[in-house]
Amino acid sequence: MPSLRAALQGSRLRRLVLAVGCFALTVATIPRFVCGRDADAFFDGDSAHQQALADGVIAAIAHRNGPDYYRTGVARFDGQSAIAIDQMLIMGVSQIIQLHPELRAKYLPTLRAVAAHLVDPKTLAYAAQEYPQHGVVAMQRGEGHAYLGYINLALGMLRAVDPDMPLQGLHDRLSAELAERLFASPTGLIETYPGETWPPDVAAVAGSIGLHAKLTGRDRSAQFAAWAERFSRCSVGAGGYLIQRVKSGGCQPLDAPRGSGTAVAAYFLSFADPALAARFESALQNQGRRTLLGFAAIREYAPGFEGNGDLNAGPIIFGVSVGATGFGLGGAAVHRDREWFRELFRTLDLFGVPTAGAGAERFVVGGALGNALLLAMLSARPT
Amino acid sequence: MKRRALVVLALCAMAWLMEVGLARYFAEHDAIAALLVRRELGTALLLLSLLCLRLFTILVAPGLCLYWCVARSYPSRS
Repeated sequence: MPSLRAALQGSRLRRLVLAVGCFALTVATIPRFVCGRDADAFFDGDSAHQQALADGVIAAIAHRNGPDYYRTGVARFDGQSAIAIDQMLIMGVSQIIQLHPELRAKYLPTLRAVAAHLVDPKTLAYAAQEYPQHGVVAMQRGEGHAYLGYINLALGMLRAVDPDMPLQGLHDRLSAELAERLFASPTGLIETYPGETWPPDVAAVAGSIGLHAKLTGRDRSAQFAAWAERFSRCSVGAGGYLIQRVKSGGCQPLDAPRGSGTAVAAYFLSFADPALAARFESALQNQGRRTLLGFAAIREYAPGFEGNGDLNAGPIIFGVSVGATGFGLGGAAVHRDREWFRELFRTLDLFGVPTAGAGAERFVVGGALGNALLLAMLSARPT
Repeated sequence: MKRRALVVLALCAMAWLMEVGLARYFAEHDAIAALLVRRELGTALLLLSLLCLRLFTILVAPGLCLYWCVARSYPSRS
């Protein structure tokens, strides 16, 4: 290439052009390739990838000593994070077993042990501080106990792969009591704790009831259609995002419409009302999608809103949140949107920093909690 | 040119090694509670360093290496 050499020789400007050209070329091609190389394997349910991540999460919680995984001294965080880790581990591994039934024998003992821990009232002792007793023990009339949606959804997923599970009776009772409260509510909402109503938690409750109905052959479609209308009227805000928190007993928003809540609701509601789940998924893509060079993230606040987020959202950088982006993978997987999944996965791979060792894989930035959530999201399938 | 190439390669290798080391640290020390609840500055800085190194090794280093490869293919006047 003598002409190129001659053209480039000696000139600082040309060297600069060359440097910019090299960077533009590599930035536009290499990161999206490097960070996206495992995306299709997860999207297509590759057994080796899924098992490696599941084994990583199981190894991370193996050292748990006592009811909580984290011991920060903040009872609410410690309890809720333990519930989330257990729930998402059960959901993720059950989804893997549904796709690869030959793995059932390998994972079933772990699933049953985690489920026993999940339903132990000591795991979320905070609930028994807020109510007279943990909802797993008993629920009195007028009490919401919507945190049980997470527990009940996990029980449903376990039951899907373990029809003879010992916790069947509890699953039936929780589903019946939550359904009674949810479908009777004029706002479509029930409280998580006294004076606290969080629509994303209610989405988990609805998802758990929908999954129970599927497993037991009960048709609740008419009930869900009526509930979805009340729930949407009260809890859907700007841009179709789900409002994160409303005042108990009414529909007054106490927080903004938020991407993290919308994304996790899109996943949970796929078990109960696929149409409503699809609406949330569409809102995330239309209003929340931010893409650059093949990487995507989801903005935390709906257009017109701003804030600093919270533990559910995780860190917010340039308006997009870790929580919304991570949960968004679940919706993309459920709705079989490969390109959207790939874009979100690249961002996860870039900032999650995957590492592999001893047959297990995990995203080191996520810790046990983040990896359990990702396990459920990355293995999600249409129900 | 050779010296510059060695500097570039050494820089990329060092960044990658530091990234691997920090990743190993975070694989053994779950930082979620420290970051989200206790908001520990030291952990946040370590994590920020890890992410900066990763951005460097994935976004910047390939460009540096390509530039060096292309630039060395023609003679420099200096």
